[in-house]
Amino acid sequence: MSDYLPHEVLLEILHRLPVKSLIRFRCVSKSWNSLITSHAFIDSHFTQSPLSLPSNSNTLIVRSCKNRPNIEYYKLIHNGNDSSSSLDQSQNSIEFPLTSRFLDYFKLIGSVNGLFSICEEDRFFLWNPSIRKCITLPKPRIRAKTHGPISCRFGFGFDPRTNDYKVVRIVILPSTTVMTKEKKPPLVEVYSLHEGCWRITRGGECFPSGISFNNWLRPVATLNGAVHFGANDWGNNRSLVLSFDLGDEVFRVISLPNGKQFQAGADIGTSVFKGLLSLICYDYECMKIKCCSVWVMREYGAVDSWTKQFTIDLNSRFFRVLGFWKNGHILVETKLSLGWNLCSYDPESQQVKNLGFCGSPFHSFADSYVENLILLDKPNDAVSKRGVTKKRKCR
Amino acid sequence: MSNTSENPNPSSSSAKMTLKTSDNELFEVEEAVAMKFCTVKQYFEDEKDSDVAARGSTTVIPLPNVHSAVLTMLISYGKKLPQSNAVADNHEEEETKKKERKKYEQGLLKNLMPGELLDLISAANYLDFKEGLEFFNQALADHIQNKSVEYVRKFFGIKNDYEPHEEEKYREEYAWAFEGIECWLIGELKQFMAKTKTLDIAGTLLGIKPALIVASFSVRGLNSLDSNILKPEMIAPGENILAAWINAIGPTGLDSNT
Repeated sequence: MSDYLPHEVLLEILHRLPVKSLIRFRCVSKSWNSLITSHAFIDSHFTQSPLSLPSNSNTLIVRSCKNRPNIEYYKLIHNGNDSSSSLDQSQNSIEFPLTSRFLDYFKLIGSVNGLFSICEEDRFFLWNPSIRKCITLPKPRIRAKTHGPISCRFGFGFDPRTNDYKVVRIVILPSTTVMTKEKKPPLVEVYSLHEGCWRITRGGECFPSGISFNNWLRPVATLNGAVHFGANDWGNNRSLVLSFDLGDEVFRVISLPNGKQFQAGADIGTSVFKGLLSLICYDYECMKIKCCSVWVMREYGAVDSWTKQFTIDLNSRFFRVLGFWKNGHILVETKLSLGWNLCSYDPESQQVKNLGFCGSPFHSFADSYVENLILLDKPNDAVSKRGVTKKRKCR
Repeated sequence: MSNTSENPNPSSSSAKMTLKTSDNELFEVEEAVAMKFCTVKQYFEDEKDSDVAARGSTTVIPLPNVHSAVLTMLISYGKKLPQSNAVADNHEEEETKKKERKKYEQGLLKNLMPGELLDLISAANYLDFKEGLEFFNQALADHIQNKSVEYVRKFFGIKNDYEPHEEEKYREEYAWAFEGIECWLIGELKQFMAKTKTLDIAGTLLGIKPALIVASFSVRGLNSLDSNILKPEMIAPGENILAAWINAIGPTGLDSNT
């Protein structure tokens, strides 16, 4: 047994450890503690660890909302081999650390790199389930108290240039409605994890005129350091994607292909498919959902690179597409006899794999589970509801 | 292993290099494998620049920080890696080789003691053997992943500089991270139990020719001449026995033991 392990070798070994082990090994010695909680290690562990890649992740984190009482649950679903046909899964539940003041579900703004952004009215939180740490953000500047009745659109994204996580809050002021000619541009407020505060940006000033957000209220896609919203251009009767860059804080328009399904008012949401910007479009026929098509922008920014990836027939079985898993499997909500279930659908083989119960369909969320040490160095805030476990005799 | 060889044209694939370990053992290694040890590669290239021709015989590259047992393992791992100068295989051959390598790696880890891992990592780091370092680092990370804090401290020889109440507070606050982790004492006991063997009575064997003879100096049993002699419960061979001893101190106290 050697007495001394070189520092860079120790770092290499620590990089390969899962998050639970690292939290435990903070207790080994003070120098290990300061190493593990250092900003540099937190960043490098995420970028270097093979466990942090979504494509390597065999685990899903799923949010399911039960009603009466309206409580949300998070759980992990492990999936072993793709080829195994048996339902060989184990589920772990993750405790949700927050209590709603209105006995209702929180709004999930989004999740990126394993960090979740959650809000309820004026209260905003960032939660990292892999290290069970939740912090409360300061209150934003623009609120109903100060600005009157407002409506907001949210986005949560990661800026790889500065390694910073940002919550974007686009506030639409009261006098702005779709049909009036006089429209106040929205105010954009951004919270940066590095800065630790909200800041009103000038993005609102460059908000393209004549554009309004569509009704997609689920988490929006974050990709290439920008958040992407679905929007309508009523004047030209078309839908488009509005991106807000987290670096230069400027809005940009990404056009969609021509076609009936991309008219203004279409039910379109943004998502990420295999690292590419994608659209989930619901096509209606006689006011009923007929099918869902998934479009992918093969080359970011090139309008002619929009390709239809697949179409999913939404009979009464499938209800909504939640997102995409590794290997291009689609996560869908399905109505089964016992209620709503989360299923993994393989568009090539048309095979459906049931992954478990997921509660009320409108608030479900599923994404690859990614381990991250982010927030480890932030002071504790919202404490876990669970009490302290009893001491064990043997250590 | 102690013969040196001529060092022909380095670009030929069958060229060999000689490495000398800390315990003065000489290893003849194929150049393709030895070049994976970047420290050796650097040394070799530095030697090439200087006037090697004038020296005549082969250079022996000294590795004062690496023991022969460790180098043996590193070399055999190096041989299993895809060689940089090998002809490109087709897909099938590549897959077979990958499977073979995986099997070899699993076998290697099974027989490895955790302490040996640390030695391998130190040596691989000194030799700048990137593939070996990656493999053994991952093996060590996998090994300590589910271990307790005490185990990790003992393993790396780290002194605990926390006050007891500080440590207690931390363990309570992050109790979830300590769940399901085996207490180190139980882990040690399990390892110890795995090493102990039991002797079973095989039974009585009859009809063995020639019958075993008790040595002339050993006791055979009760004797009417002297009632103090005891009857043995169990006897075992005691002449011409092959036994083991540690390298540092031999059984006879002489410099060499034959």
